[in-house]
Amino acid sequence: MDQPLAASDDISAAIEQYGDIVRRICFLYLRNQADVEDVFQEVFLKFYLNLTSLETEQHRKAWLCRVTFNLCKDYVKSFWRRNVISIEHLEIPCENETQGEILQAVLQLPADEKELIYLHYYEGLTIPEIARINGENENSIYSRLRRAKKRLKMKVGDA
Amino acid sequence: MFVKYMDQIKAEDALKEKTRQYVEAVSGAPEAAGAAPAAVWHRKSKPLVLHRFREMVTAAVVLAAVFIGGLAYYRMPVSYISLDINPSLELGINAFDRVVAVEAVNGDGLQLLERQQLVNASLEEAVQALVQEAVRQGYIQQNGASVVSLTAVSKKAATAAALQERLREAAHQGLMETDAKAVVYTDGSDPQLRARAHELGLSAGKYKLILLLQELDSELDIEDYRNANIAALILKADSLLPTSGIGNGQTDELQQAFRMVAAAALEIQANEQRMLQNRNAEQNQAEGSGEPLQNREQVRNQADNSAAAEQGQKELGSQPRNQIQASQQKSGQNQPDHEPSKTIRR
Repeated sequence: MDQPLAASDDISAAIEQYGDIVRRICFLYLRNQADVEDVFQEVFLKFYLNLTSLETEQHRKAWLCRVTFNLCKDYVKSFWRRNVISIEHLEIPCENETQGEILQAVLQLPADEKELIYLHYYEGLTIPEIARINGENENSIYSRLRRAKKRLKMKVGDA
Repeated sequence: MFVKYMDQIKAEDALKEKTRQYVEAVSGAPEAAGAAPAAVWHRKSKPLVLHRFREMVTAAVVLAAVFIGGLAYYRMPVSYISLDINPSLELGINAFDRVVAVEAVNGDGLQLLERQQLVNASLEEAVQALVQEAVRQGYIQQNGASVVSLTAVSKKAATAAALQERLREAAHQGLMETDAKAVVYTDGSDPQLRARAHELGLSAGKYKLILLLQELDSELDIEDYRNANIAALILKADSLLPTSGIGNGQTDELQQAFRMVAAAALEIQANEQRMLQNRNAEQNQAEGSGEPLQNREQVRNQADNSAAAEQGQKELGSQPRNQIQASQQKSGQNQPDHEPSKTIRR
């Protein structure tokens, strides 16, 4: 698995293995199926082009998360999208109303806090690992997480 | 709970398939089995590099366009100033009130512009420098009877009017610094008149005065006044003003022009008269000091003459010319105290 992937089979395997992660990150940021497709394809093209430098699975996963976050943010920031394309209705796979509220609260968090909640609570990455991926100080990650939780609490409480 | 929600989100099979096809299409895969990933990297990196290059080129083009556009806007004259004494010249002024074009309209104008670096100077600096240079080159007579005519040419009448005020101030400032005296005559015009003036090889200011002369005397030939100085044109116009007075059957514009000409002529004559009085007073003083005093009566007469002359000078000198002109324009029928022997017809 940790061997360099070879051409088309490898990219297929990578899409199978990491596709869900990339899709979930896209879900956190993008409201538009076309954007999701663009980012998804771009991420895997980049991944394919950088195969040789991604040696371990952990490294690949961290790299994919980082690249997907960055691309999503670029898309969200894009002047064209911000001003021209209207936000489509978000399809949230929720079982009940409360779940929907929590999910909405997470999605409404600032980009960096949303990213942190996802990596920590879903991907199960530790704070030092997240700090390493982001190239940031652990303490700032801790305080950001604290801030995000407080904000979530407030939002869900209000609702 | 969050984990539970996110678990439900999965990449759709269609999306995966599409992505696989996309990556293969862009990268040229499927590769032959065992192809070195390093080779793939070098070859496949090209689209990205091209992408970046295109962005850089776009950014450079946009920057260049903004820079060139800005420069063109800076260099584009939005109004013109015609300066006439007898040197006639024209200044192009941009939207930032900076001189961006300088053009001599006649030979004297060319002479006046020699050694002058006016491009990028502010409107006021340029006018002051030109007035001072005109004094140095002797285009402004010592007797104060010369006229510095400044005509603001703009599409908007309000802009031209605002420019006139600034031009008047700047010209007075320039005259004051050289201690010279002259009548400052300002007027406004539109670009159409300027274009017609250029066709005839004249400045807008001089052409407007010649048109006024033609209004007063339809047989008058432009060529006769092509090389005349502005003071002569104003005095000539003043002498032709209708004896029936200003205001009978004339347009407002014409009435205004007549009043301006009459006021300027009045000022020219006042300046001449004042200089004459000063000269007489000086002569009297010279005679008085050179000869033994005959009697007390003679001394008193000389003193009275000098005092009267000085008083006259102070009265005129202390009042800015534009105020004189303004008050004369407003006063209508009233004649100022210091009006010379000539009667102004209104």
